[in-house]
Order: sequence, then C-alpha cells, then structure tokens
Amino acid sequence: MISIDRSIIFQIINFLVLVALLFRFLFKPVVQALDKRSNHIREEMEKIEKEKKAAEEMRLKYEEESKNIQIKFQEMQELANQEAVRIKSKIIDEAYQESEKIKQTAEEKARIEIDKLYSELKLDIIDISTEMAAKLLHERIDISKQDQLIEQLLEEAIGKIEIKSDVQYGQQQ
Amino acid sequence: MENLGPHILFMIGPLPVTTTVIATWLVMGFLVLVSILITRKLQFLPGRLQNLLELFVEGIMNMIDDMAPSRGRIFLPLVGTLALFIGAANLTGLVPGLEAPTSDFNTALALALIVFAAVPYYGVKIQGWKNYLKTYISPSPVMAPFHIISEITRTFSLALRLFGNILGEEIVIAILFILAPIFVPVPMMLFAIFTGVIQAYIFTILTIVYLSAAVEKEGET
Repeated sequence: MISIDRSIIFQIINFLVLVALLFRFLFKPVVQALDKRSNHIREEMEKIEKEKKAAEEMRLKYEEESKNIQIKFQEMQELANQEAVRIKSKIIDEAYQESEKIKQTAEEKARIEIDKLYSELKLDIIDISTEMAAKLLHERIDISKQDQLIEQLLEEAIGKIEIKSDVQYGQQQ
Repeated sequence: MENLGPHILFMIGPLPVTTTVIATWLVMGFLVLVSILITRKLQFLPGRLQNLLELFVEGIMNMIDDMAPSRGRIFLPLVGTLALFIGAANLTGLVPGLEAPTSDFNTALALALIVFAAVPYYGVKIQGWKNYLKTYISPSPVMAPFHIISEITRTFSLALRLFGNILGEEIVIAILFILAPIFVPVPMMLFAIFTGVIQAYIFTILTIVYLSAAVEKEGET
C-alpha cells in the first residue's frame, strides 16, 4: 500500500508542469485582472478625491467672493448714503442760496421802486409846489383866498401822494 | 487490498505510467482547461465563475499575506496550484472508475518533496544564503540537526497525512459499496467531499506556514 516507486518522478514533473501551466493560464491573468480593477478603482478614487478637493476649493472661493461682494455692497451702500447726504445738503444749500438771492433781488427791486417812487413824489411835490406858487402869485390880491388856496393845494398834494403810495404798494405786493 | 494500489499501465523509458499518473493528467487537463475557459474572456465586471476564481486567488493571496506579509504574489503559483490540485485530486476518487491520485503515496510524497525543496529555495531567494543558513543554527548551532530532522519529518508528515486520510476514505467507501451498494455510501461520499477539501486546506496552510518561516528574517515576528 505504501510503496515508493519511480512514478514519483512523474508526479513531481507533472506538478511542476501544472504550476507553470496554471501560472500562465490562471494566476497571471487573474492577478492582472485584479490589479487592473484595483488600479481603476484607485484612479477613480483619486479622481473623486481631486474633484472633491476642487469642489471644496471652488466653494471656498465662492464663499470668499460672496463675502467680498457683501463687503463691496456694504461699502457702496455706505458711499451711496454719504453721497445722498452730500447731495441733500448741497440741494439745501443751493435752495437756501437761491432763496437768499431771490430775497436780495426782491429787496433790491423794492428799494429801486421806493427810490423811484420818492423821485416821482419829489417831482410831484415840485410840480405841486410850482403850481401852488403860480396860483399864489395869481391869487395874491386876495389874501383871504390865499390861505384857502394853500389849504386846498396841500390837500390835493397829500391826496396825490397817498394815491401813488397805494398804487406802488399794490404793485410790489 | 492489493487492488487498492496503483497499477502500472505502460512505461515511458524507465518511468512507469500508473493509473495514478493517468488520473493526475486528467486532473491537470481538467484544471488547465477550466482555467483557460474562464480566463479566456476576463471581464472588468466579473461573471459568476470569474468571481469564484478571483475569490479563490484573492483568498490564497490573503492567507499567504497574513502569515508572510507581502509574499502573496511570490508564493501564489506554488500554493495556489497545491490547493487546486490537491482539492481536485481528492475529489477524483468520487468519480466512478477513477482513483484519487493523492491516495497514492507517490503523489503525496511528490507534493511534500516539492514543498520540502521550495522552503530552502524561497528562503535563500528572499533572505540570501547566509541569513537562511543562520536559521538552522538558531538559537544555537546545536539545534542544526534538529532543524534538519524537523524539516524531513514534517515533509513525511505532510505526505502521510494527506495520503492516509484520502486512502482511508476510499477504503471506507469501497467497503461500504461492497456491504450496501445503494444508499449507505452516499453520506460517506458527501463526507469525503468535505474531508477532501479540508485536507487540501490543511496541506496548503502548512505549506504557507513552512514557507513563511523560511522567509521570515531574523528579528521579525
């Protein structure tokens, strides 16, 4: 039952041949396939990792940009507010200056009108005085009438002055 | 009992071609043919058979790597072939008209001798002559004869364990066939499948242990 014969040499050769054949037809291709797959998986993982990293970088970049935009927006808002305040004060100043100018012009006009009125009044007084003087010379003979005439002329002159002042005042209004 | 041994069918020169050698060729042919058929069209996404094959190859590599880290690829051809051949050869005995090649002591001893030779081969290849020979005089030169005896005895132990188990099963199945040929041998045949696979596993594991011990550098645990 337990006998060692020369067939052991056959069995050794057979086994070594089988090792070579299985290495060629089984282990080598299977190991290559496994390597190929694991390499592929590793590459894919690396790719995913890279993409993940890129996405993270992009996210951070967008966050940074968003923050910058926010800051810029706030700055612009601040500037706009300052500009608005500046324009507002400028408009108010301008309006004040304009009103001052209008006021000055109006005062100037009023003064001119008053001066004009005085001038006219002066002329009227001169005219009246002249007229009065003429009438006095004509009426010299009658002294009693002289007083009456003076009073009448004075009343006329006052009445004229009042009418002129009213008219001037109405125009200014 | 005389019929249990291998018969010489013819001679090739001085070498006898026995029934065991023919059975071995059949097993070899079967394994190579199946390998070619499966690996002919390896897919990136494996099918069922490819998956099974990849599982086997990865399993063997992992077993080696567990005991001899990063030596999986180096030992794979020898260890993988041993596992496949012994597993297939053990199950050959269940095919009517065929005897398991491993039930012939010549086959079991041939396999054990290959392991016996592979141990110093890989030891020297990986560690170098000096370091490998140092393992024989470790921890003391007095141990050298014991190391040598240990290697020889474990070789015979490997061969006898495999041979004894498979021959024992075949004898039991044969006796049961003689006594009750219809149903009784079936459970024993199922058990033979189990022990056939277990014996292949044991032989493979022990081979990995011997190889890992040979390539383990001093100071490594």
